[in-house]
Amino acid sequence: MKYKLEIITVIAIIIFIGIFLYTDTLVQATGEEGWGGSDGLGSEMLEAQGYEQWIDNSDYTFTPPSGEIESCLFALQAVFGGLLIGWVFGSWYTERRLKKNPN
Amino acid sequence: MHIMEGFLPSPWWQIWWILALPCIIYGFYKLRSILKENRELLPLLGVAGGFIFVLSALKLPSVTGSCSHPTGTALSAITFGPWITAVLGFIVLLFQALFIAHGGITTLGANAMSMAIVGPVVGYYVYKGLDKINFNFFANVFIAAFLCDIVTYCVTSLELALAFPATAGGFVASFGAFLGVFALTQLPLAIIEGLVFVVIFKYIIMLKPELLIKLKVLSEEKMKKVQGEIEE
Repeated sequence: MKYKLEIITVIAIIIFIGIFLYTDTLVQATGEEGWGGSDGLGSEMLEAQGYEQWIDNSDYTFTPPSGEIESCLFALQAVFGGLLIGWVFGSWYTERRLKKNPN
Repeated sequence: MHIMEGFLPSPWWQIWWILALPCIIYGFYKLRSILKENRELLPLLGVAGGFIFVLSALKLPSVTGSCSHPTGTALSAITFGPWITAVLGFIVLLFQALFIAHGGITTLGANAMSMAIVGPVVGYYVYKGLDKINFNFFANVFIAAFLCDIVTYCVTSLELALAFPATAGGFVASFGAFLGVFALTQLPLAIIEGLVFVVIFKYIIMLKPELLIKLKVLSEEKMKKVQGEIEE
């Protein structure tokens, strides 16, 4: 089948979303705020043991002052990556089409 | 997998920096020599770096009720090898440390070690090993990409467990606890990442198979076989 790999991947993503929706009902039922980052969870475990952070990003650069600004920077990161990927794949595709059909 | 700034005490952050630095410098040297020989590879390098940028910005929800992100290092690791990947990954981590407060300068060595070095090294050598015994190409890419991702998180757990052994049970107990937070959350994401990279490799084979032959990702005969499989 020509699109076998794509179909498997799409099905896996749908299952993944399904699992998320199901897990979310469980998380909502507990009434606690879920879906934090695992990076943060690891650090919270250490803080619970009494560890104190000895240096912070804002000591030398910058911590995004709000969630909106952080998501803006993350989006910019993804945009630059995506632009690069789209541009290169687009030129490869055109190059191949021109080789096959010079007009 | 980011260890947050200030969460690795001395001497651990220095140790990881010292271990990571030679790999990154060697990567710079390899990157320069490969681009000098072959300007054609520059677009593929851009795509490989682009995927690390995009995928490591995506925080996805997982079965454990917390979010984590894929690493995106597999394309670069399989095509350019782990040392050049170390450079690309380092650039992404530096960007995140300076501008998004994810990870930091002191923990950058440890974060580079997990995401940009050990993960790609494992993925790359497993790919090469399975390629030698003529394993199916797409299944091999899936396994390599899965490992690039999951090993990264295992290394992060290891780094934290070494720095913070539990009072009861020591290093092993602590390692288990961190694996529960990081690796378990990562498992479904690693499977999705593996599948996504399989599709990406399919498109590269359709558009630019000669680059993969040049980089010795596939031999010419095997490439013909894989191309046959795609067109069926």
